[in-house]
Formats: sequence, C-alpha cells, structure tokens
Amino acid sequence: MGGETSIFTMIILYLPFLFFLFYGQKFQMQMAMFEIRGHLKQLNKMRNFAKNQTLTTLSKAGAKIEDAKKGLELMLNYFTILPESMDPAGIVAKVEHILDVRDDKLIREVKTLVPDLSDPDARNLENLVEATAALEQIYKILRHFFLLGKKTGNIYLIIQLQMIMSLVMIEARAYLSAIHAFRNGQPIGDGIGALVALTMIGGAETTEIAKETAVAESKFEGRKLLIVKAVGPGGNTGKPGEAVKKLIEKNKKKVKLIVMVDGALKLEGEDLGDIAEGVGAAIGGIGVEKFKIEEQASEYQIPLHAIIIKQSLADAVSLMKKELYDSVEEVIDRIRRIIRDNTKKRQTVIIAGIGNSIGIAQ
Amino acid sequence: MEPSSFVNQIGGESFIYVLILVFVAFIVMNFVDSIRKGRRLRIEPPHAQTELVCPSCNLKEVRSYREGDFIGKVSDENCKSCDHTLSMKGIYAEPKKISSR
Repeated sequence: MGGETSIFTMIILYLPFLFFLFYGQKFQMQMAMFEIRGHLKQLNKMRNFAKNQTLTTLSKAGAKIEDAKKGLELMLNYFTILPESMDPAGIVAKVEHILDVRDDKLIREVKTLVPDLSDPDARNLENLVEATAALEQIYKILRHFFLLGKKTGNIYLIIQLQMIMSLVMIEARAYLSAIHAFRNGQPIGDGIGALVALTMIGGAETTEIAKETAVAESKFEGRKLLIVKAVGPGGNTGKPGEAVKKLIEKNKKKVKLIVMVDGALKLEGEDLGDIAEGVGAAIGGIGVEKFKIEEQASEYQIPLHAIIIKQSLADAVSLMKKELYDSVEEVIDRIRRIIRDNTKKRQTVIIAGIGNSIGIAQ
Repeated sequence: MEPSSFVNQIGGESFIYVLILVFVAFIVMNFVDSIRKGRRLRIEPPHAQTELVCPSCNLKEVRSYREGDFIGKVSDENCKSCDHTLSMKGIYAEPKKISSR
C-alpha cells in the first residue's frame, strides 16, 4: 500500500485504456444503438396505439374489423408523387391537382369502409388516419436508418440518428396527442384561425364559395367584411386561396385589404398564445393556397396583413389549449385596429381564418 | 491512520478501483435508463371542457366535454338565468397530460 503497485493493478489500469484505444468507437456505437433501440420501442408503442385507436373508431363507426384492418394498412402505405419541377412553370396547378386526387382518394377509401358516414365524420376519420400514417412513417424511417447503420457498422449514421432522436420524439409525441382530438372531433390548436373567423361571423349566414370553404358577410364601422373559413365541424382546411381569388374577382376594386389569421410555430421560450402581427400570406401547407393569395394580392395591389398566434407543433395538432382559446378576443381587437388603420368606410375587407376546422362549425 | 497514508491509499489502488466502479455504474445506469425509456409510455387523453354561452343574457357555463359537442353547435341545454337555448362557444383543454417519462 505504501506506493508499490501490483501487476494486477497495472493490468486493471491499462486494460480500459487499451480497450478504449482499439474498441472505443465500437463501444460508443453500441451505447448509441442501445439508446436508439429504446426510442424505437417507444415509437412502436405509439404507432400501435394510434393504429388501435383508428381501428376502434372505424369499427365503432360501422366498419367490419377485418375490412378496417385491410383498409387501414392500405391507407397507411399511400404515397404521393409530386410533379416534376425541372420546368417549374405551371407547377402549382399540377401540385394542386395531385393533392386533390390524394384527398379524394383517402375520403373515398374511408367512405368505402363506412358507407353511411357523414361528411364531417369522414373528414375526422381521414385526419385520424393521417396522424396514424405520420407515426407509421416516422417509425419506419428511423428503423430503416437504424438497421442500415447496424448492418453496415456505420458509427456516423448511428450517431447522427442518436443526435436527432430527441427532436423526432417531440414530433412523434405531438402526433400521438393528435389522435385523441381527431378521434373525438375536438378543435385543435391549428384551428385558432377558424375559431377567430367563426367568432367574427357571429350568426351571419354562410355560403360555400370554394371546395369546403365558407364565406360570410358582415359589417364593421361602415366597412364590408368577407370572412372566410374552412367548412366545419369536420376536419379540413378548405381552399382559402381559391376562396380569396373568387372574392377578389367578384368584388373587383372594392377589396382594399386582406387580413389573414393563422396559428404559427413558436420558438422555445415563447409563450403559448402569444400574438404577433406582420405582412404577407399567413398560411402553411405545401404552398398552393399561399401562391394563389399572393398572386391575387399583388395583381390587384391589395395590402396583405397577417396575424399569427404562437404554439408548438404538439399544441397545433392536439386539443386546443385554454391559452389559445383565450387569445381569440385580442386577435379580433387587433384585426379591427388593422381595418380602421388601413381602410375607409364603404370599402371591402377580406378576413381569412386559416386552419383546420375540426370541431368548429360556421 | 496517518493522513499521509490515507491520501496514499486514496491516490493508490483503491482510487483506481473506485474509478472503475464508478465507470461500470455509469454504464449500467445508462443501459437501465435506455431500457426504462422503451417501457415507459403513459397516454392519457387531456380533459376537454365545453364553454356554453347564452346568446340572450351572455351567461357563461363550463362543463365537461360530451361526445358530439362542437363549437358553434346550438345545445339542447337551456340557460339557468333566462331559459334561452345555449350555444357552444369554445372547447378547450386544461394543462396537457400526455407524458412519456
């Protein structure tokens, strides 16, 4: 003990050093793989839960369980091939066409399984299937890279996977929380724009101006308001771009302002339900509707104002939080201020409440 | 025990053994945590509430969400104050309850 080191201690001391010198990377890879396996197990549980919930909902709606299983597998594996963009001229119309076909196909598939389903319920089921498909895709893609890394012994692939895993899990949990809302047809955070529009519509009469998109006419301090929202209470986002285009064409030179209201992803540290104002088309998605609104606004030189209500991805796809609901009145106050500041009496204003109208009628 | 021999002991073989023990414990804890991560997944639906409002006297009423509720629906419940039919003004959740810890 007095300072002399035995040969055994020397071996114990140097063995780890030699081990990490030659096998350090492999050891690190095994540790990373172990962690990824844990996450994959959790993802597998999430997708199975989502599948079971969807199957239960389908069978509760009247589908035979065997048909529901086959139909669900079919829908979960649907893919969409976007148009070729080497010659981008006219690509928006092509993308819109492909997306319309996809949308119709999914709805038809749901209605084939449950023929007596009402349109709103069919829309909600389609949303449920899409959330389940998102979890299925996340699981399959991560499993693919995990198995590929394992098969090729590629530590860099495994480490990259380990690094993004926590972010992917946040997204997966968001889709998981969407399952309950879509299953019950409850309003989600993304529907905040639609809720603002509904509150502004009050009890005014609505008409369908574009596919699954409603418009209502209202008055505010001598101005005519045309309020647009997706038709509810079924889960759909409608075609606000098409609706705005038609309204501008119908009310040529009278429309002096467009105000768009939508939910937007918040940065970490920002509060849920924070409101921000800006300019431009506040609308997500692949870009078709955004393109149409921007095109019309620039052609007729109509100022385009936007109000966003901040929320995380999980808040956007799960049952609407109280904080978001409470922001509605302030958003309406801000819209009114924008209208007062930018228009005169007898002018027309288009207000587009963007978002999924699940659980929100008109 | 003299202080010098104690330091010697800590700085000598025992220190190496303690270091190895800590290292092994760290690895085991990491593995156990990974296993538990895979097993723990609590899925609880959030508690939904429906806010009803009387269009006549503006009385607000909040109750638990019922299947078939949607915002804008005219409810079959009547206002406790003026007996007018209530409409559903909002459906929302209290703090989230989905966790995977």
